[in-house]
Amino acid sequence: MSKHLYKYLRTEVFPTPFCSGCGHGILMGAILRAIDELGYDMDGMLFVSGIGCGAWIPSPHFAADTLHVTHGRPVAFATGAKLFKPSLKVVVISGDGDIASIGGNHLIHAARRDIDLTIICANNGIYGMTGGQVAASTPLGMRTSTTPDGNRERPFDLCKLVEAAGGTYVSRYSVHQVKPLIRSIQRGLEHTGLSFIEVLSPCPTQFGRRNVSGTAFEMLQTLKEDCVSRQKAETMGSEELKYKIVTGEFVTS
Amino acid sequence: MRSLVAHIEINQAWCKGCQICVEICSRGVLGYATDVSDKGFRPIIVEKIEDCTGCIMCELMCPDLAITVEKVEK
Repeated sequence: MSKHLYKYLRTEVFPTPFCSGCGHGILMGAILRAIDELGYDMDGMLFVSGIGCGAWIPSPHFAADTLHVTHGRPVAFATGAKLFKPSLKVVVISGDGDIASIGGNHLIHAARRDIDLTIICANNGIYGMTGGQVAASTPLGMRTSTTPDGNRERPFDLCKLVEAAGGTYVSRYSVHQVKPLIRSIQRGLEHTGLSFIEVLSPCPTQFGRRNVSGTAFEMLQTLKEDCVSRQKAETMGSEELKYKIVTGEFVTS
Repeated sequence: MRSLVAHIEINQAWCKGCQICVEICSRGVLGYATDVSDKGFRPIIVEKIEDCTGCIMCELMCPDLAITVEKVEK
């Protein structure tokens, strides 16, 4: 992280609690860069997170107001904060288990109401912090501590879910696509209405050790190979796309 | 020898030695330290700064925000 971005951090709490090679740290850097390039004042922002690895991204690392709330409820708390003080820039940063599984109902209703929130979902496809249990976003066939023979349940397509519920900015990027990700976070922050950015982030500790052998970098490479852009996906057949993840901006109204 | 393009500083206290920066660098600028840190990680060191192009990919991809790349003023 460039030294000029240290002003956004509580440097006394570093190093981060993330495991070695966790993609959430890359996302943390991307969010701070997006805020810096937009020239936003952190004093006018509120970061809300729930429980889980992803929730550690803003709290306690960002030198701003942060709410670290109960499991699955960051969107509900953020809605309350936004209604109380509409001038506040409210950003929800949390994991897939928090936003999509336990707090899934809050997510779809926030999208239905089109509240002016920016929701950044750090999706690592597993409940990392609590012991690697299967989540609503775990891909089919993947082994977790509760599905040792492979996950048999289909995962949520979070972007389609939010789009169908009425979100007005929806995008998905992996942490490997860090420059498009920074641009997308900027668009999400500038957008008025509910913006939802799903960020695919590798978990080498809980997900990687059960499913892939290799280093954190090899997990990033696998993620890169699995992702296809929205434009390229339009030219591919459904059979080809079966094991691919489509990335890009899906709704920009 | 061409002049230095950038200067790289690694915050050894924050680095967890995940090796992403070493692998992502196409010029092989970064390498591993021989010693293990107090926390049990092998931190990253700058090996060939003269090959650095200042692309800042290592800085962007560092999960521990431990790398600072500064362009050298010409």
